[in-house]
Amino acid sequence: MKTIKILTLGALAASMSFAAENAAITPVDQCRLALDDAKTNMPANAYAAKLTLAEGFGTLSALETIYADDDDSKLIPTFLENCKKYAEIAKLQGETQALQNHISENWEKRAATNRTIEAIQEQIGEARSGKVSDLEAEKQAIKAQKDKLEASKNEAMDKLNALQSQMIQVTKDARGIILSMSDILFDVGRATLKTDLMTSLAKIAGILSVYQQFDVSIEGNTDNTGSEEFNMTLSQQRAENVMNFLVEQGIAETRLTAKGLGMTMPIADNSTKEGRQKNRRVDLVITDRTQKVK
Amino acid sequence: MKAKIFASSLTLALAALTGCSGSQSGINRSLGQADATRSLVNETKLDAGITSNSYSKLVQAKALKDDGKIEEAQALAEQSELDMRLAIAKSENEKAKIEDKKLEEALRADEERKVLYQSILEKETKK
Repeated sequence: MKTIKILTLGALAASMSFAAENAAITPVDQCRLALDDAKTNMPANAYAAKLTLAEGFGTLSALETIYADDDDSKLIPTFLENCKKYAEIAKLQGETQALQNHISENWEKRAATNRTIEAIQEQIGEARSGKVSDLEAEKQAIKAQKDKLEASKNEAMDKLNALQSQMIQVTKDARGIILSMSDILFDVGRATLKTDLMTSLAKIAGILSVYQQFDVSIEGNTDNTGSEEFNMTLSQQRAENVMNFLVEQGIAETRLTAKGLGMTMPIADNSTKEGRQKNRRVDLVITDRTQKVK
Repeated sequence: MKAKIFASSLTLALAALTGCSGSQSGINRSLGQADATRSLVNETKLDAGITSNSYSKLVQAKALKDDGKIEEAQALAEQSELDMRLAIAKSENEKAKIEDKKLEEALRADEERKVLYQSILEKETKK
């Protein structure tokens, strides 16, 4: 019971001291505190807030006068309320100005960032156009090379065409240029090359030595007279002899092949004299190595 | 002596009249300003709670004026106007907060774009 009394008295004393502390804060002090609090962290350019604060301090002066005349005046609560409202408004206006300042800074940052982006975009554009130029130059070089090869091929073709005669037929098909040499250029039934053929082959060798992109496949052919075996052997020997002659003329063996096809690849009717004449031949199939690669 | 008394009485009467007219013009000014602020504020969307409270105070202030309680009326008219100014300040603060937030996001997006373009540039120049 005694303890309860002591506790009650203690609580009473504490509440009385708290009330005394509160009573010490006059309405004038409350007004000043509110205005001083509103002043804290106010941006330098918060002019509207500063004007509001000035009005608040005017109210503080009026409140001081009223309070000094009569500390129980009915006007005091309203003046104090007004003072606090000035403080509240000024604080909000200050915060708004701080936000506006931040907004302005961010607009400047955005402008700077966008200028940087534009500069980077330009650099990307330059890097890409440089590459496009390189690529374009490469394409031009390839085209020039192709044109050169084509021109060279046409030139060679013209020269090979010039060999066209009764004994040498010049044609062109998917495989390349074909020089068909009549068997008149060989001794009958033999593989020995006649002088006329050697002259023509020497000219061909001259052309091949200039136009290095050409390879030659030498194909010996016969008509259907005689045995198959004989014809195969004869056509093989004739093809090899042509090849050997070209090698003697300085053409690299690697560019040449020789094969006997016998009577397997007729180009005309073997039942007629003219047809058989056409079928007895050695074909030089001239192919462009550069095109083969592609 | 009579003349002196008369002169003194006249001076006092004039002073009283001037004071009275000063208070009248003061309250009229405060009420007029509160009224004008209210009509201006009505054109915008503000905190309805604050503005209706402000209007009640204005009505009260007018009543106090009619009762001859000039100083109280003036203080309340000022408070009515302050309520509306507070509503305006709150509204402007909210708008600024929204704008600030939007701009922060836009700036962040710009920064991301910058990083992206920088990485593209690095790739383009490395190739």
